[in-house]
Amino acid sequence: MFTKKRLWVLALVFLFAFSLLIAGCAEDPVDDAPDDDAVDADKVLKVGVLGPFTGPAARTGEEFKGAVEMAFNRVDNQIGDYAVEFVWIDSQSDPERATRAYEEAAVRDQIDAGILNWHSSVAVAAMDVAARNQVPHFFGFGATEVVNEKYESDPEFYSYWMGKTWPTPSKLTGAYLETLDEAIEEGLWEPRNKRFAVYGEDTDWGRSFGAAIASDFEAAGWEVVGEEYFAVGETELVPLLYSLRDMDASVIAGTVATAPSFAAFIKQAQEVGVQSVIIADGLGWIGEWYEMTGADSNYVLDQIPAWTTDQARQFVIDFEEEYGFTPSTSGGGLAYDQASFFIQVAEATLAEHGELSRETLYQYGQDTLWTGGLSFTDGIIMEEYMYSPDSVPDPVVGEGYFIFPVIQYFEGEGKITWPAVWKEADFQSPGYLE
Amino acid sequence: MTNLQSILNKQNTLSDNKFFKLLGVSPFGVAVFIILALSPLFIDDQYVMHLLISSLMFGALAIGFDFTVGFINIVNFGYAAFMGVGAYTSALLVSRLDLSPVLAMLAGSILAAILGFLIGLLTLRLRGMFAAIMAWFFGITLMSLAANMVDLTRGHLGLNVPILFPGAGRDAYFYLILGITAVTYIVLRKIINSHIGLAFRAIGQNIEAARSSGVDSTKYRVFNFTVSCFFAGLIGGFYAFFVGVLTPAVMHTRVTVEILVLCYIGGRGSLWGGLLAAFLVIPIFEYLRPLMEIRLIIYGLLMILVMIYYPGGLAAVYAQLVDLIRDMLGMKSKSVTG
Amino acid sequence: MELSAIGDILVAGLLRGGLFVLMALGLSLIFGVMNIPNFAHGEFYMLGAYFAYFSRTLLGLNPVLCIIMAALGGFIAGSIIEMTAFKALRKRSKGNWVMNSFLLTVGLSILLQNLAQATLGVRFMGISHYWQGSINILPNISVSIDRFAGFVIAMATVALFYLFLHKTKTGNSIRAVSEDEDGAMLVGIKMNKVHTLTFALGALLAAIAGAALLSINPAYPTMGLAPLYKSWFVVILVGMGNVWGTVIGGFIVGIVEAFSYYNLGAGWQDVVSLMVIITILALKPSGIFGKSVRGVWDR
Repeated sequence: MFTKKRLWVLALVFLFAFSLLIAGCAEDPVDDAPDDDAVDADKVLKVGVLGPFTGPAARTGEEFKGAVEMAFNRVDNQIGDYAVEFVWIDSQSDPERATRAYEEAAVRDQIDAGILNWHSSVAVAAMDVAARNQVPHFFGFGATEVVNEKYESDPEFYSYWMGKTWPTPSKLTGAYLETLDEAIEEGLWEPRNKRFAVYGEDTDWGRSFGAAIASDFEAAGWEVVGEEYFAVGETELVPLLYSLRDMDASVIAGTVATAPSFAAFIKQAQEVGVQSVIIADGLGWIGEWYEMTGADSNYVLDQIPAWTTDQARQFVIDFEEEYGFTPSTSGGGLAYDQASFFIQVAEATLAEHGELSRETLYQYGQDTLWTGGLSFTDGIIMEEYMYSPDSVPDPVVGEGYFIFPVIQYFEGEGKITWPAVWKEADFQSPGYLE
Repeated sequence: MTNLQSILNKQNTLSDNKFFKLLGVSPFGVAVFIILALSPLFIDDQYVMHLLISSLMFGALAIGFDFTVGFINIVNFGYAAFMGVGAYTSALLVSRLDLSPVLAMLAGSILAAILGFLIGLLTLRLRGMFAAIMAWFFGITLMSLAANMVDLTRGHLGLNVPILFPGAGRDAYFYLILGITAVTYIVLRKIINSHIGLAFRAIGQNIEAARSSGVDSTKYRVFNFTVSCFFAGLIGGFYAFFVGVLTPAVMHTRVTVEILVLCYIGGRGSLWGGLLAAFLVIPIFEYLRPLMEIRLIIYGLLMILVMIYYPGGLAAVYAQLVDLIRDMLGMKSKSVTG
Repeated sequence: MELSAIGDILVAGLLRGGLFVLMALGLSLIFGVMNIPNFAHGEFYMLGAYFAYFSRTLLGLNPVLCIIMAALGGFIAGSIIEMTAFKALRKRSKGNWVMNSFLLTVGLSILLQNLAQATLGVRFMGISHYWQGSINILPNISVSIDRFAGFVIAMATVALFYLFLHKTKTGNSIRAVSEDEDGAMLVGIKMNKVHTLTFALGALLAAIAGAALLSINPAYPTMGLAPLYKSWFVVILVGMGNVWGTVIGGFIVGIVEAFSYYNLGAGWQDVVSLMVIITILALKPSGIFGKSVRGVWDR
């Protein structure tokens, strides 16, 4: 039974497994800070970065990683006399695995604080781990109501989830309605009816956005004539678009987080001949969107921050040079700002408490950040990032604060049509409307 | 020589002991169980506890999976969906109707079992691979139902599940899943050791022969499927309370594949193989997490190599080691008598 | 439902079905001849899309050549995998072949997906179109040229494939093996060659599907699962070993999905599809056109 050959194979397998373990040791997740004599080697700030570094949303994870590294490079990976070390917490887009990884970071790596996060479901699961281990976690992205609900179920316990990057979708969708109302007032567009339909990817984000914008339009006297949600990754949308077309709505709105699906939706809408103004929230999130849609994206409305400042454009150039792909404003761009915001929080904490630890960071966050005592104005996307007692865990939303301009696409370029202060061009009625 | 014989006899009586037989567990298994049960006393690293819980949870799922694939030779490719049914049911009963979690978990597993029974009736008349693929279709359908019944499940928005044991420790979760794993193993082992298990094996090895010797194959297969889904639902209930949030993604094919891999690396038809594999694979792959995608490349490669060179998995390695040791001992005892 | 809409949906369903046919044909071929239930079939679809993308963007080839390059790439990848993994498994296999080979393909699927992710990254590699514009295939019904061309390519491939199976010597030996392996061996057919060729051809068909759809589905590491599921659906629906059955099955699935999509919304199409397949299998367990496939399934 137990022949020599088998023994040999077995030995080989063990050798293989053993060498893997060695390999695992060698590549520790901790990025060592640059050797600098000025830095006291004992003083280390460990920052856990939570993101989907592998798995279906790995693209976002890569953007997070690049953005965080670039933000911290600006301060030479140093906060005062603390050297910064990163612990990359890979959520793999799965709440259960994310809790494992987060637990490891909290217990084993003893991170002093966590930052970022992508999915809402991961946020809900990780909130427990962070709270149990009393790790303050700053600026998670997961935006939907489910995160706020969890927070409100026990605001004190979950106060370790220190501020979401992104407010719940319902706080942002109103801008579209305002844009269209303005256009109607100024006679730029005359809707043939007041019918409105929702489409979207069947995810937390898609549903949440769809419900929010539908209630905006309904409140403004529009009739919501239908909802069409489709599975994640679906790219064969012609039948669904026929159904949307036949609803005869003047406006259709929705969001899709998977770029190929979104591109397919836009292209096939033209193919089918959908006679509506299309609101495609987040189409521009993924850098390559225009390569996939081409000119079919003309006239589409989106609400997305643009790289408006020189500083922002420089960031894109640097990022492309370093990592080989184009970051999106909502992924890489916001992550860069939030990492910089965190640096500011950490510096202020150090100034106030004289040391950086879980306790001081949490304390500072509670006392100053959440009361509006500290805001961040050096960002590349928003003018000012701030929290207030009324807004937490969401950031303050509105002009001058967290706001996404509404843009209309032409040949791959977004022209800002709302708010008035940033306006680059008037809304144009789509040429395909008969 | 008489000494040796009496020792051997003693050993026999130990493993023939009524207690162990009743449980269907070897003394070694009981020892492992006791060590595990005591481990929280010595480990206060919460991360290790978390890993132990994850390993037990996936190990228990693999035991239930092996009960089908290892004995009646049908891959229940919709397995994760049944786990999801249990998870959603128990979470909803607790959050909407304020049922006690224990009752809710039980209700979840019963619903999963009923669904398993119905789906078994529909698919298990088909042949091996047909049945597996049909179970897969059912799994996908259950997942899209969970995604679309937004009023009930909140779909992809995610369902918040109340925390079972508020506070810092993981120990309570650990003992709960340890209990569930032990019950799962013992119940399934008892079934396998009974005449029903014999019928399962006969069906799994050669369905035609089993049929012609008068075994009602559909009946046994449906029974098997129902029991396996019951435990999937039970562990699903635990999953819901442990993780605290549910999305339809728990029912995804990816999760089934993960369990399947454990089961195969452990060795089909052993029941315990999947559990052992979970305790090896999950911590090792956690440990390798910094390797990112490379880790999953290794995962795929490992599976291919296991399939080609060791289709029996860890259970076969164990059996060969036992043989080897027996051979050595055999030689030794010969030399003693000589 | 208006009459004009019915026409639109019918056409959309047919065009959609055309590529299911291509995928399902490869799956059915590999299963029928080699008894491998291929879980990695979607990954060849993915490879095809990547090959086409690089031929288009790096080499700047014309669309037809891109698809031919993808076909070649799929063929080569398929034969390499067959000659390494499956040959080794076949040599050592001691029964339970269907299950073991199935699990091997699960491992293969994980491996290929993550290899693609590790080497090519997580970028969506897509093009906006092969050919710009749309054409009227019927009065009032216009479709994009890409979609129509994809359909024509699919049908041409199916026709060529049919001719190959029935009119060439190699094709005949593949069919002989699928019908009676032992008999084929007795007549002196070289099994190893037939197996490698079969697997490579299956991969080629999937790769063509991936390449033809590149403007609709950009290349991405995890893009293969949905088409895999759809092609299994077709195979189970129609049964095994029948090229024309697979063609009709692909169209049926395409049309059923298009209608359920239109009438019920996207989320419920899985439920509708399942109802259809349960009803059909309850009436005819071996699938609509299935021959009696006893034995093959249990091996």
